[in-house]
Amino acid sequence: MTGGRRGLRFPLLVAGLAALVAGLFFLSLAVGQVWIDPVSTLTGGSAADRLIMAEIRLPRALLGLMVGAILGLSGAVLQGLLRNPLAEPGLLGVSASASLGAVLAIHGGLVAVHAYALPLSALVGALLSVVLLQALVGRSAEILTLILAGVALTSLAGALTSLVLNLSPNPFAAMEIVFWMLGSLTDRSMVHVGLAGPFILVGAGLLFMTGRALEALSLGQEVARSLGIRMGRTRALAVLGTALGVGAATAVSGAIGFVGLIVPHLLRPLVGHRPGRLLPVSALGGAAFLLAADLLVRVILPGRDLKLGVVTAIIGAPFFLWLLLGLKRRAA
Amino acid sequence: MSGLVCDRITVRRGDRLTVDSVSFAAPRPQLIGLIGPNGAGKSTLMRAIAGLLPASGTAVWNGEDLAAMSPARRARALAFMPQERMVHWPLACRDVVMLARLPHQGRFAGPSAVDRRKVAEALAAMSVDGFAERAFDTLSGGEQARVLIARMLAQDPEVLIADEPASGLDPAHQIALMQMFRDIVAGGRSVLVSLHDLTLASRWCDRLLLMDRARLVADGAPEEVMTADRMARVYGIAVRPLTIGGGFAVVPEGLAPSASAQTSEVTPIEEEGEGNECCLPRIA
Repeated sequence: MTGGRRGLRFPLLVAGLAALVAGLFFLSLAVGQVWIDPVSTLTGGSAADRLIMAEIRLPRALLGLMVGAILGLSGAVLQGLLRNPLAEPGLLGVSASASLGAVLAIHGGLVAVHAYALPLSALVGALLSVVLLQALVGRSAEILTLILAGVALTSLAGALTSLVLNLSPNPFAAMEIVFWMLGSLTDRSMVHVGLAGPFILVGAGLLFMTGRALEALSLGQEVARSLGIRMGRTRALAVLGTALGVGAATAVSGAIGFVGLIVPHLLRPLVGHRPGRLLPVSALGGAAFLLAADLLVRVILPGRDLKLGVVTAIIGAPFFLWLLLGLKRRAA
Repeated sequence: MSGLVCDRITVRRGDRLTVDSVSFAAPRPQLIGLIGPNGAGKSTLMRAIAGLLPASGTAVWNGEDLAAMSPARRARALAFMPQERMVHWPLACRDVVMLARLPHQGRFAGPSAVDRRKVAEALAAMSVDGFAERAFDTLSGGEQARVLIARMLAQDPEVLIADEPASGLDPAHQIALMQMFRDIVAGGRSVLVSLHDLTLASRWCDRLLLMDRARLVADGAPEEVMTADRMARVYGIAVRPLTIGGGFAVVPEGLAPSASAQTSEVTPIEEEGEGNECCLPRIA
């Protein structure tokens, strides 16, 4: 693993990724069952085009941007905090709990009562999980306790979700639950954006505040503390930021795997492996990855409502493997 | 009172004392060597002074209680280097050393010209500037140690506390390290360093603190602390005093005659787990 280690010039990298995200965002607005030029709808265009743009394409593109960014960012923060490249946003049990909330809303028929009962219920699930996590971990600064509590919470929420599936009254309800859990950005509205947006923004803000601490943590917890880092504060920022951001993302899009794992991993060598610099880069990378995957979903099988979470995993897993094998070859 | 003053520092782990009421004062800058057998409590004492462990008693720097300082203020006053040499990501050496400047930087400010200069000076002082851009994980153990010492230097603190910085270095770099510590002390700073190499400790330190079974058992100039009798009692070894360049030094010669009894007495405390401090020639 030698050579080219210093990575690209950081501002250049950020600018390049930002341009990539902007391009994909534009395509996300333009591509669908009909091609619409987003710029033309600003100044005129047909009423139908403007409606499609405002009601369907724009919320979808915005959610792709926000959800992808928060997944990439949270993955980078957790990998830095735990100093483990296998950490990912689902680790703390937040996604599983949000899913459980959503599944309960579907099962209980709340979805029929109010259109936004599902994301709200998922959000409540995510927030309850962070309260539970904090209660389990307490004030201990021990990182291992945090991981174990997250694993326990994930298992519990997973088991309860399975129980709901098990008890579901009819196959249609079970199907709806399974489809929701696969993760998708289809048929979301600006209300979803308004619902998740503030939480994702606040979550991202909290996560970005860990940058310095993550840099110092490269030298281990003890040296980080001797460099003036408050470990309890750092952990709280990472947990709360992930709970708010990823919880809200899961609430509106379902559980989308692999983005938070693969994106930080992929981009780390480009920032000279610096965990603080990885944060903005991972947020941009996550947004680009999810926007691209959502475009693929629309292009490959337009008629079949292919689920986004399925595509991210199908692209993500082999790519990840190829990457790891490549790294190993270079090391040898 | 100026300088470093430690008063009855006590660390409890479970129902056992791992540091038992250690007091010493260093009113003027000194190179202080902390010596003692495995499990004597050296690392624990250093961590307690650095504010990394809950401890009773006080450690005061220039009249200011180190434990009561804000973490950021303490990071500018005191640097700590643990025995474990670990960098979690394959960072470039310059980036590793630059981490030391975090306490001197604003929240979102990048490195200043001063930061860059201090890092360059630290890299040069440990003669690792030649591979500043190389990844930490590609270096040898001794080179890694020198990069981490450079990290501590770049922090530019008033007190340096280093746990076993000399272990794993070749003799030339060990001597260069001790000479550099002497220069730092001459510049008006205090250095507290734990050492297993008794010759190195006796040759270079102004003062030695000898710990045994959680207690400070001797404190003074090397020739006062390293008496044959005390070395036999604490370490279970026989030492030969030498005069090198007009100064005092000792060389461990072999196990003390009654060493077997001594070692068995010391052994239980090793469970305390101070890691692999394995540099002492305790030949069977």
